Amino acid sequence: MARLPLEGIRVLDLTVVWAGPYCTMLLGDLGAEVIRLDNPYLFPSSTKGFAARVTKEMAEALGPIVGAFPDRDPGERPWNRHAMFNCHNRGRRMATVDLSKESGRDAVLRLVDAADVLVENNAARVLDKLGLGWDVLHDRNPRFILLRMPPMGLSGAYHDFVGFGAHFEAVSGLTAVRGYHDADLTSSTSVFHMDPASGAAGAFAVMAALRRRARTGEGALIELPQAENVMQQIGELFVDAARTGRQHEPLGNRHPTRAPQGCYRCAGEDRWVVISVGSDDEWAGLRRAMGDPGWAADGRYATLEGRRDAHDELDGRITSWTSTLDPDDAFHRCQAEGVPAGPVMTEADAFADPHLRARGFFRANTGAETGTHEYPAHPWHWTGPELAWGPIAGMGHDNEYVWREVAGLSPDEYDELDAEGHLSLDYLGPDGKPL
Amino acid sequence: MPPAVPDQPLDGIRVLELAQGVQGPYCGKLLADFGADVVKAEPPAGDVARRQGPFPTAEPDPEQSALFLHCNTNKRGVTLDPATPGGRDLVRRLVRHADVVIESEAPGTLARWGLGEEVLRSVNPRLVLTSVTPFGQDGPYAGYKGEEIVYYAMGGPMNSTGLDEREPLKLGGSVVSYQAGNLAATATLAAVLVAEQSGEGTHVDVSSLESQEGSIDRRLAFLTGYSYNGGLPRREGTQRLTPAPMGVYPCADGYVQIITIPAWVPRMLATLQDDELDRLYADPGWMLDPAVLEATDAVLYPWLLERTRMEAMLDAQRHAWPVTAVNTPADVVADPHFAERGFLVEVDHPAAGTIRQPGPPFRMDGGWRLRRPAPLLGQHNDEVYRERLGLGDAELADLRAAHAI
Repeated sequence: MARLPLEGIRVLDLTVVWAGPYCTMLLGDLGAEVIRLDNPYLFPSSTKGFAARVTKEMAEALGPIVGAFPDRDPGERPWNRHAMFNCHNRGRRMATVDLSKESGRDAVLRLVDAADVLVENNAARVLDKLGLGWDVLHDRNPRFILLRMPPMGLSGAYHDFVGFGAHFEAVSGLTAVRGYHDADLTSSTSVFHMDPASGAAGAFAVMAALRRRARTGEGALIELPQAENVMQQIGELFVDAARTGRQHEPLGNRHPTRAPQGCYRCAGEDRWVVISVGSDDEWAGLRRAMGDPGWAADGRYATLEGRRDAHDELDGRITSWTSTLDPDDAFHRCQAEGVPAGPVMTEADAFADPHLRARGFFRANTGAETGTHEYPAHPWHWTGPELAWGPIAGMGHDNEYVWREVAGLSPDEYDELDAEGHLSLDYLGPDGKPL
Repeated sequence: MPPAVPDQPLDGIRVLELAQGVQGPYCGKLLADFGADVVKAEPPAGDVARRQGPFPTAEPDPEQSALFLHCNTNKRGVTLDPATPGGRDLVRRLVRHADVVIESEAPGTLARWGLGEEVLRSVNPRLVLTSVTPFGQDGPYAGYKGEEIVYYAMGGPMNSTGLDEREPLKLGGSVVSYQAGNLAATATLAAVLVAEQSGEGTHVDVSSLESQEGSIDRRLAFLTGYSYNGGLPRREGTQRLTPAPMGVYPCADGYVQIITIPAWVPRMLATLQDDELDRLYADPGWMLDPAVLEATDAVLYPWLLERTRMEAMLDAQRHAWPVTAVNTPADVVADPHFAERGFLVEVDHPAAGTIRQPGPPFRMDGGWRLRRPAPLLGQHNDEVYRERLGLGDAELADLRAAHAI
């Protein structure tokens, strides 16, 4: 019986927000033991919610999205209960250490002896400042693999720039080609697609380095500049801009060649369906789906070029059909005639969707401080060894396992680590007292 | 002594790519760019990406499509028609020499061609078969058609992307499809490691819908949040949460992106250097005071309009205030940071000439290498069919006559 490919691989996780955690989540799904290290003196805002201490009243005021706690109750330790963290926190071992102290760094180096990989996505300067740069780790363990995911890379004029994914999507060309086709860019709202792009590429990179290590015995420093990775995903625009100088603009919901394509209003409050027609056959299919209304016989619509020229007009016509229908109804009618279409699904729609249900996309999981809920599960299926699906631990829950068993600290050394304030289930103030 | 040119990490992995468009080919590109030997088999009409562009002129040219040139670096190209008996036989023979097959046909199509999983596995038991499709291999929507906008609508969160008073809005280009391709590459490499460790083959089933439904760009958190408390996100529009600037703002020559969370307010104040703003933000009640928003805009807009996007970015980042230029792809081509890093690399293509295209998504010793540009249609028929399969002139002529290649 085959084992998961990363069984026996140990990953240290110094990640923040979404990009890094998504990477280590995937590595954990594939069998790696992921050890997340949290500094209890440093609450990571935008990683585990937005404040360490949240009262029930505050949670009420924040609303269900910013205050995404089970039953909107932040509980004793809100950082262990926030959806933005728990959505990816399956299966990790959770330990704490204060990396600003020399003793904390020494303890982490003991873990480096026993681990294979470290993943981090902090600002470029952070790792060296902590005394855990590539030279240090490589000297300590020549087989070690270090995945660094700085937003702009480790070199270049902007390498120390700070910001969220949205900032780096802007500087790298993505923001300028996203937006309504008939509005200027100030209508842009923030998206964070760079994060999943980095996470998936990071997991690929770690496996590539592990495969190389198995043959050469050599560790590796992997530099994954998150901007340059997500820029691959609009790579054709760089090829085009470099050879023609063209200025690319947002196309809204339209497509460079297909027409009509759009997001059309349906019956009900804020209900929508998207439809995309790419050929004359699909146009014929859409006509059948709509019950072949008289207007659709207009000769101007018979060719792709004609449909592109009359796009605004077609959008209005199609809306006159969709606006009487439920999105699911429009979706199935289009697909039955071979036309790509889909309802704009809310999160409630997704949980109720028969296809996602039939494929087992949602699975129950239990958190030490959240109880049992359904979560979105693995992003792919395979017939290989069953992907891991571990429970959701809270900060510091595995301190004893990680420091005693993995790092190999003696009972005295462990007590010392505790006495120096490294081990905590709570976020702490400078005085060492829980916040 | 390490070799002078170290092996690439994916050396020795042989891939047969039967996929078209973005997802499967991007999966194949990632494997190829890091050392795998990828043979791309296109139908005689060519990969659909050859017809999509963008093209340098108004005249579409299948050898000039920027999408195809980008997604198919480092591959050798052959043609075959798997719907013909001769083409089918070629696939079976190529699979004997492959560790991985990537395909993107509608579920059931391969089986109809006599190339279903069991057949391929009987030829090669350790084979990794990666299928990248809109909705996956089973389930009620398995036979439905997909498109970039469909994956974002259903996979989300298109419902909360865009302006509150307008229709939900897709992301730019085909990024959702590329992301499915990247996840497919990750899953494929994991399955290759399984085969190398255990000798067991795997069928990898990547659904573009589920790849997006499981995206960490908000959707995973929103789904989990809904499961926790029933809350549903909405399109918020550009209204900011506090008086501190957040969004895309105009400047002298375009736009900048700004986000100012409360912890970054001191950095903004250090950049803008305005006594009145210093005074207003010193009041602990600033977050709820609409007068602060007005005063902020009264300083911010003129400050931005006196600066180019580059100047505004550099001035703000000097104080670690997260402001960045909104660059078009053409701006990026001319940008000093990306030039210094060598983001674009030059390649000579037999039909497109000397072009520039994106370099590595990540860097490691001996990692990414551009060994060859995207192939011409059928460019390596002779090389692959003669060298790998040992076909002779007569057999090749027969296959051509039967339109199998």
